[in-house]
Amino acid sequence: MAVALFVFIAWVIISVYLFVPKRLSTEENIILFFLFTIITINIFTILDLNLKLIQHSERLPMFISFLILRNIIIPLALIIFVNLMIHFKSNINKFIIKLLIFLILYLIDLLAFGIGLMTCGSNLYLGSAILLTVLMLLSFLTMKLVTKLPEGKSM
Amino acid sequence: MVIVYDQKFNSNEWFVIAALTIGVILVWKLPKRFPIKESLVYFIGFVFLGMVFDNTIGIKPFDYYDVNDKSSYQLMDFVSHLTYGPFGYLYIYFYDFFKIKNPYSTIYIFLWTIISLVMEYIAHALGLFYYKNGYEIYYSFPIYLLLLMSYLCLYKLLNSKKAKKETPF
Repeated sequence: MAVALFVFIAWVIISVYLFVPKRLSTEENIILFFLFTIITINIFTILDLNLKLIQHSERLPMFISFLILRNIIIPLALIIFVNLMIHFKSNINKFIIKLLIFLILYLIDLLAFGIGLMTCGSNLYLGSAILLTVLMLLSFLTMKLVTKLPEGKSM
Repeated sequence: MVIVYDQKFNSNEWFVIAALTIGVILVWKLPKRFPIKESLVYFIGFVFLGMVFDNTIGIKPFDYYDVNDKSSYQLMDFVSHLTYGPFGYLYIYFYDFFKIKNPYSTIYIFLWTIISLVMEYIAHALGLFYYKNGYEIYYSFPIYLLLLMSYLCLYKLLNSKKAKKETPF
């Protein structure tokens, strides 16, 4: 059940990604997807293995769902977020996008905790909110950094 | 419970530092072949794949190996993942440099799979990887094969997009 649910959520997120207007180039989108996944994996691993604040389930179906959440849903939602932040010019639209993406990720996060994908060592609602805010902030800063890279041959 | 394998700054840390330094120097000094953003895709892509796999089969419920001195996550674990970056870049660089065509791609992938296994064997011998729960080095063979194959697909995808951009119609 959990796997089916999270595969469905991932499918919806992938579909949304395919249809949102993309102001970033293919290379930039790929770099950002890699970086967002790296950031998400690192944060989750530190919170799990070192701080024991958020711990993933060891049951295989739950673990697969956790991987879908960590490696597909969150990074792709962040990619959609940064693409839309560039697409919309007015501050009101940008605020709505921030709020919408945050709420969607927050609800998915609460669902993950609710069905036992992850367990939280402290305040679940506040912890999730802080985690998502940090992820969104880092994704925005990473996008700014990547889009400022010069074109042309290098490395 | 955190398992501690080693407390000292020794062979595994030096191996990571040496591999990263040599890798970055090679990437820096080799003649340029790709635009900076495409280069970054190839560099970061392998760090990404390494992290995804290490944080999937290296954690419970599988928990097949630990990286570096402790079973918990340390700064050196992150640095050791960065060493995958130059490896991925050089893999694509030489593929592009030698203009390898499709029938020979299979041999190229196989060759780099062997190189990856040798690198993993050295890393394991120096205490970078600690296998657990019955994991053996040859289990990595299909993983590398799959990763290197998918990496070439990424290169081909980016190049097909470039070719489309260059055609006027």
